[in-house]
Amino acid sequence: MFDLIFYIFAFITVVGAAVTAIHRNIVYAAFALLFTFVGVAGLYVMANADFLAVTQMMVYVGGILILLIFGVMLTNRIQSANIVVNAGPKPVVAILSLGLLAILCAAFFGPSATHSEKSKDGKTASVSSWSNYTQQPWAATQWNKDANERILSEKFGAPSEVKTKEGSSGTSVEIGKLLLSDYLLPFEIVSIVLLVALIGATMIARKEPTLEEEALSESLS
Amino acid sequence: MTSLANYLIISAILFSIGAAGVLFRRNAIIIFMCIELMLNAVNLTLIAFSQFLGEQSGQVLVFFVMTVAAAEAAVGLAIVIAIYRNKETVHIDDLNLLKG
Repeated sequence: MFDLIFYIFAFITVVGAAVTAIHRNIVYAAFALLFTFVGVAGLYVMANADFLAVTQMMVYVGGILILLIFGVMLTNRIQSANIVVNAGPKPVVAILSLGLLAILCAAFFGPSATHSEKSKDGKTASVSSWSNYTQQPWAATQWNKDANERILSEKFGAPSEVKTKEGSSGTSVEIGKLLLSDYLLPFEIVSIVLLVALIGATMIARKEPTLEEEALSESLS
Repeated sequence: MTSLANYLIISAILFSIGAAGVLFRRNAIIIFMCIELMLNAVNLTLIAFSQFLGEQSGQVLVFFVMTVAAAEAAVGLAIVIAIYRNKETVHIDDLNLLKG
Protein backbone atom coordinates (compact mmCIF):
# COMPACT_ATOMS: atom_id res chain seq x y z
CA MET A 1 0.00 0.00 0.00
CA PHE A 2 2.80 2.37 0.99
CA ASP A 3 4.65 1.52 -2.22
CA LEU A 4 1.55 1.99 -4.35
CA ILE A 5 0.99 5.51 -2.95
CA PHE A 6 4.65 6.28 -3.47
CA TYR A 7 4.52 5.26 -7.12
CA ILE A 8 1.31 7.25 -7.68
CA PHE A 9 2.97 10.39 -6.31
CA ALA A 10 6.13 9.70 -8.32
CA PHE A 11 4.05 9.28 -11.49
CA ILE A 12 2.15 12.53 -10.87
CA THR A 13 5.43 14.36 -10.26
CA VAL A 14 7.27 13.11 -13.33
CA VAL A 15 4.33 13.43 -15.75
CA GLY A 16 3.56 16.93 -14.48
CA ALA A 17 7.19 17.93 -14.94
CA ALA A 18 7.28 16.53 -18.46
CA VAL A 19 4.08 18.36 -19.44
CA THR A 20 5.50 21.57 -17.96
CA ALA A 21 8.65 21.23 -20.02
CA ILE A 22 7.03 20.40 -23.36
CA HIS A 23 3.47 21.72 -23.52
CA ARG A 24 3.00 24.53 -26.00
CA ASN A 25 0.40 26.44 -24.00
CA ILE A 26 1.85 28.37 -21.05
CA VAL A 27 -1.32 28.15 -18.98
CA TYR A 28 -1.41 24.36 -19.33
CA ALA A 29 2.29 24.23 -18.40
CA ALA A 30 1.56 26.22 -15.23
CA PHE A 31 -1.32 23.88 -14.42
CA ALA A 32 0.93 20.84 -14.87
CA LEU A 33 3.45 22.48 -12.56
CA LEU A 34 0.72 22.47 -9.88
CA PHE A 35 0.56 18.66 -10.13
CA THR A 36 4.33 18.41 -9.87
CA PHE A 37 4.42 20.53 -6.72
CA VAL A 38 1.61 18.52 -5.10
CA GLY A 39 3.33 15.26 -6.05
CA VAL A 40 6.61 16.44 -4.56
CA ALA A 41 4.77 17.42 -1.38
CA GLY A 42 3.37 13.89 -1.26
CA LEU A 43 6.85 12.46 -1.66
CA TYR A 44 7.99 14.65 1.24
CA VAL A 45 5.24 13.15 3.38
CA MET A 46 6.38 9.64 2.41
CA ALA A 47 9.88 10.63 3.61
CA ASN A 48 8.55 11.70 7.03
CA ALA A 49 9.05 15.40 6.27
CA ASP A 50 5.60 16.61 7.27
CA PHE A 51 6.55 20.19 8.10
CA LEU A 52 8.29 20.66 4.76
CA ALA A 53 5.36 19.12 2.90
CA VAL A 54 3.06 21.76 4.39
CA THR A 55 5.63 24.47 3.63
CA GLN A 56 5.88 23.19 0.06
CA MET A 57 2.13 23.48 -0.39
CA MET A 58 2.02 26.98 1.09
CA VAL A 59 5.11 28.45 -0.56
CA TYR A 60 5.11 26.75 -3.96
CA VAL A 61 1.44 26.06 -4.67
CA GLY A 62 0.09 29.07 -2.81
CA GLY A 63 2.82 31.56 -3.63
CA ILE A 64 5.24 30.87 -6.45
CA LEU A 65 2.70 29.25 -8.77
CA ILE A 66 0.25 32.13 -8.35
CA LEU A 67 3.10 34.55 -9.01
CA LEU A 68 4.01 32.65 -12.19
CA ILE A 69 0.41 32.74 -13.40
CA PHE A 70 0.33 36.47 -12.71
CA GLY A 71 3.47 36.71 -14.82
CA VAL A 72 1.76 34.84 -17.65
CA MET A 73 -1.22 37.18 -17.42
CA LEU A 74 0.90 40.34 -17.39
CA THR A 75 3.23 39.37 -20.22
CA ASN A 76 0.83 37.87 -22.75
CA ARG A 77 -2.06 39.44 -24.50
CA ILE A 78 -4.80 36.97 -23.62
CA GLN A 79 -7.34 38.57 -25.95
CA SER A 80 -5.16 37.93 -28.96
CA ALA A 81 -4.81 34.26 -27.87
CA ASN A 82 -1.07 34.51 -28.34
CA ILE A 83 -0.17 32.35 -25.35
CA VAL A 84 0.89 29.40 -27.47
CA VAL A 85 4.64 29.47 -27.86
CA ASN A 86 6.68 27.60 -30.40
CA ALA A 87 8.69 24.66 -29.21
CA GLY A 88 9.93 22.33 -31.87
CA PRO A 89 11.70 19.16 -30.77
CA LYS A 90 15.44 19.50 -30.75
CA PRO A 91 17.51 16.32 -30.66
CA VAL A 92 20.53 18.07 -29.16
CA VAL A 93 18.52 19.06 -26.09
CA ALA A 94 17.23 15.49 -25.69
CA ILE A 95 20.76 14.09 -25.91
CA LEU A 96 22.09 16.67 -23.43
CA SER A 97 19.39 16.04 -20.85
CA LEU A 98 19.65 12.26 -21.17
CA GLY A 99 23.41 12.64 -20.69
CA LEU A 100 22.75 14.72 -17.58
CA LEU A 101 20.43 12.00 -16.28
CA ALA A 102 23.12 9.38 -16.91
CA ILE A 103 25.73 11.50 -15.11
CA LEU A 104 23.45 12.00 -12.11
CA CYS A 105 22.64 8.30 -11.88
CA ALA A 106 26.35 7.47 -12.19
CA ALA A 107 27.15 9.93 -9.43
CA PHE A 108 24.49 8.41 -7.18
CA PHE A 109 24.96 4.71 -7.93
CA GLY A 110 28.02 4.32 -10.15
CA PRO A 111 31.18 2.33 -9.44
CA SER A 112 32.91 5.30 -7.81
CA ALA A 113 30.04 5.86 -5.39
CA THR A 114 31.11 3.12 -3.04
CA HIS A 115 32.02 3.48 0.53
CA SER A 116 34.11 1.25 2.73
CA GLU A 117 32.29 -0.43 5.56
CA LYS A 118 33.91 -2.02 8.53
CA SER A 119 32.48 -5.42 9.27
CA LYS A 120 32.45 -6.94 12.71
CA ASP A 121 35.67 -8.90 12.29
CA GLY A 122 37.65 -5.75 11.50
CA LYS A 123 37.84 -6.17 7.73
CA THR A 124 36.91 -3.23 5.56
CA ALA A 125 34.78 -4.06 2.56
CA SER A 126 33.81 -1.77 -0.26
CA VAL A 127 30.02 -1.65 -0.59
CA SER A 128 28.39 -0.24 -3.69
CA SER A 129 25.97 2.51 -2.80
CA TRP A 130 23.21 0.93 -4.90
CA SER A 131 22.95 -2.09 -2.63
CA ASN A 132 23.43 0.16 0.38
CA TYR A 133 20.66 2.52 -0.69
CA THR A 134 18.21 -0.22 -1.60
CA GLN A 135 18.83 -2.54 1.32
CA GLN A 136 19.23 -0.15 4.21
CA PRO A 137 15.99 0.28 6.13
CA TRP A 138 14.29 3.38 4.86
CA ALA A 139 11.69 4.35 7.43
CA ALA A 140 12.93 5.86 10.66
CA THR A 141 14.68 3.01 12.38
CA GLN A 142 15.03 2.58 16.07
CA TRP A 143 18.68 3.53 15.73
CA ASN A 144 17.75 6.83 14.11
CA LYS A 145 15.19 7.62 16.77
CA ASP A 146 17.69 6.81 19.53
CA ALA A 147 20.36 8.95 17.86
CA ASN A 148 17.96 11.87 17.52
CA GLU A 149 16.96 11.67 21.14
CA ARG A 150 20.59 11.43 22.22
CA ILE A 151 21.59 14.48 20.15
CA LEU A 152 18.61 16.46 21.43
CA SER A 153 19.26 15.58 25.03
CA GLU A 154 22.94 16.50 24.66
CA LYS A 155 21.96 19.89 23.30
CA PHE A 156 18.93 20.77 25.34
CA GLY A 157 19.18 18.80 28.54
CA ALA A 158 16.79 16.15 29.67
CA PRO A 159 14.58 14.84 26.88
CA SER A 160 11.43 15.02 28.96
CA GLU A 161 10.33 18.39 27.59
CA VAL A 162 11.16 17.63 23.95
CA LYS A 163 9.37 14.28 24.00
CA THR A 164 6.49 14.20 21.59
CA LYS A 165 3.63 11.76 21.53
CA GLU A 166 4.55 8.17 20.86
CA GLY A 167 4.28 7.27 17.17
CA SER A 168 3.45 10.79 15.96
CA SER A 169 6.69 12.63 16.45
CA GLY A 170 6.70 15.28 13.75
CA THR A 171 9.82 16.96 12.47
CA SER A 172 8.77 20.51 13.32
CA VAL A 173 10.12 20.29 16.87
CA GLU A 174 13.60 19.33 15.68
CA ILE A 175 13.55 21.80 12.77
CA GLY A 176 12.51 24.62 15.07
CA LYS A 177 15.28 23.83 17.53
CA LEU A 178 17.88 23.58 14.77
CA LEU A 179 16.71 26.86 13.19
CA LEU A 180 17.11 28.75 16.44
CA SER A 181 20.38 27.13 17.53
CA ASP A 182 22.80 25.88 14.86
CA TYR A 183 21.24 27.73 11.95
CA LEU A 184 20.35 31.01 13.64
CA LEU A 185 22.64 33.19 11.49
CA PRO A 186 21.47 31.77 8.12
CA PHE A 187 17.89 32.10 9.37
CA GLU A 188 18.34 35.82 10.04
CA ILE A 189 20.21 36.36 6.77
CA VAL A 190 17.45 34.65 4.83
CA SER A 191 14.87 36.94 6.40
CA ILE A 192 16.92 39.93 5.19
CA VAL A 193 17.13 38.33 1.73
CA LEU A 194 13.33 38.11 1.66
CA LEU A 195 12.96 41.75 2.68
CA VAL A 196 15.46 42.90 0.04
CA ALA A 197 13.76 40.76 -2.61
CA LEU A 198 10.38 42.24 -1.72
CA ILE A 199 11.62 45.82 -2.01
CA GLY A 200 13.68 45.06 -5.11
CA ALA A 201 10.82 43.35 -6.93
CA THR A 202 8.53 46.27 -6.21
CA MET A 203 11.14 48.73 -7.46
CA ILE A 204 11.90 46.80 -10.66
CA ALA A 205 8.31 46.07 -11.65
CA ARG A 206 7.06 49.57 -10.81
CA LYS A 207 5.89 51.69 -13.71
CA GLU A 208 8.32 54.51 -14.53
CA PRO A 209 6.48 57.84 -14.37
CA THR A 210 6.43 59.66 -17.70
CA LEU A 211 7.75 63.20 -18.04
CA GLU A 212 4.29 64.79 -17.93
CA GLU A 213 3.39 62.84 -14.81
CA GLU A 214 6.61 63.96 -13.12
CA ALA A 215 5.95 67.57 -14.00
CA LEU A 216 2.39 67.22 -12.73
CA SER A 217 3.48 65.78 -9.39
CA GLU A 218 6.12 68.50 -9.04
CA SER A 219 3.64 71.27 -9.73
CA LEU A 220 1.22 69.73 -7.22
CA SER A 221 3.81 69.51 -4.44
CA MET B 1 10.02 -1.54 -1.02
CA THR B 2 10.54 2.20 -1.02
CA SER B 3 14.15 3.11 -0.48
CA LEU B 4 16.58 5.94 -0.92
CA ALA B 5 17.34 4.72 -4.45
CA ASN B 6 13.75 5.38 -5.59
CA TYR B 7 13.94 8.95 -4.33
CA LEU B 8 17.31 9.54 -5.96
CA ILE B 9 16.09 8.23 -9.32
CA ILE B 10 12.97 10.39 -9.22
CA SER B 11 14.93 13.49 -8.34
CA ALA B 12 17.48 12.77 -11.09
CA ILE B 13 14.63 12.45 -13.61
CA LEU B 14 13.01 15.65 -12.32
CA PHE B 15 16.30 17.56 -12.55
CA SER B 16 16.95 16.36 -16.10
CA ILE B 17 13.45 17.34 -17.21
CA GLY B 18 13.98 20.78 -15.69
CA ALA B 19 17.35 21.20 -17.39
CA ALA B 20 15.88 20.04 -20.72
CA GLY B 21 13.08 22.57 -20.32
CA VAL B 22 15.51 25.41 -19.67
CA LEU B 23 17.47 24.52 -22.81
CA PHE B 24 14.45 23.76 -24.96
CA ARG B 25 11.91 26.50 -24.26
CA ARG B 26 12.24 30.06 -25.48
CA ASN B 27 9.70 31.75 -23.19
CA ALA B 28 11.18 33.39 -20.08
CA ILE B 29 8.30 32.38 -17.80
CA ILE B 30 8.50 28.71 -18.79
CA ILE B 31 12.22 28.85 -18.11
CA PHE B 32 11.32 30.06 -14.62
CA MET B 33 8.99 27.12 -14.14
CA CYS B 34 11.75 24.72 -15.18
CA ILE B 35 14.18 26.33 -12.72
CA GLU B 36 11.61 25.72 -9.99
CA LEU B 37 11.47 22.08 -11.13
CA MET B 38 15.23 21.75 -10.71
CA LEU B 39 15.11 23.34 -7.24
CA ASN B 40 12.39 20.88 -6.28
CA ALA B 41 14.53 17.99 -7.46
CA VAL B 42 17.40 19.14 -5.27
CA ASN B 43 15.04 19.54 -2.30
CA LEU B 44 13.81 15.99 -2.85
CA THR B 45 17.37 14.67 -2.75
CA LEU B 46 18.11 16.59 0.45
CA ILE B 47 15.00 15.28 2.17
CA ALA B 48 15.66 11.71 1.04
CA PHE B 49 19.20 11.78 2.40
CA SER B 50 18.03 13.49 5.59
CA GLN B 51 15.56 10.67 6.14
CA PHE B 52 18.14 8.02 5.19
CA LEU B 53 20.71 9.33 7.66
CA GLY B 54 18.21 10.12 10.40
CA GLU B 55 19.41 13.70 10.59
CA GLN B 56 17.23 16.82 10.47
CA SER B 57 19.77 19.38 9.21
CA GLY B 58 18.99 18.48 5.60
CA GLN B 59 15.41 19.59 6.14
CA VAL B 60 16.58 22.93 7.51
CA LEU B 61 18.61 23.33 4.31
CA VAL B 62 15.48 22.62 2.24
CA PHE B 63 13.71 25.34 4.20
CA PHE B 64 16.42 27.83 3.18
CA VAL B 65 16.31 26.67 -0.45
CA MET B 66 12.53 27.28 -0.51
CA THR B 67 13.00 30.78 0.88
CA VAL B 68 15.61 31.68 -1.71
CA ALA B 69 13.43 30.15 -4.45
CA ALA B 70 10.55 32.40 -3.41
CA ALA B 71 12.80 35.48 -3.48
CA GLU B 72 14.20 34.42 -6.86
CA ALA B 73 10.74 33.97 -8.34
CA ALA B 74 9.61 37.40 -7.13
CA VAL B 75 12.64 39.29 -8.43
CA GLY B 76 12.81 37.28 -11.65
CA LEU B 77 9.19 37.90 -12.53
CA ALA B 78 9.64 41.59 -11.78
CA ILE B 79 12.54 41.63 -14.26
CA VAL B 80 10.45 39.75 -16.86
CA ILE B 81 7.62 42.26 -16.47
CA ALA B 82 10.02 45.19 -16.79
CA ILE B 83 11.47 43.64 -19.97
CA TYR B 84 7.98 43.06 -21.34
CA ARG B 85 7.10 46.70 -20.71
CA ASN B 86 10.14 47.86 -22.70
CA LYS B 87 10.30 45.33 -25.52
CA GLU B 88 6.75 43.89 -25.68
CA THR B 89 8.12 40.34 -25.67
CA VAL B 90 9.40 37.69 -23.30
CA HIS B 91 10.77 35.51 -26.08
CA ILE B 92 14.43 35.20 -25.14
CA ASP B 93 15.65 35.05 -28.74
CA ASP B 94 14.38 38.61 -29.20
CA LEU B 95 16.35 39.90 -26.23
CA ASN B 96 19.74 40.24 -27.93
CA LEU B 97 20.82 43.74 -26.92
CA LEU B 98 24.17 42.48 -25.62
CA LYS B 99 24.87 40.42 -28.72
CA GLY B 100 27.92 41.73 -30.56
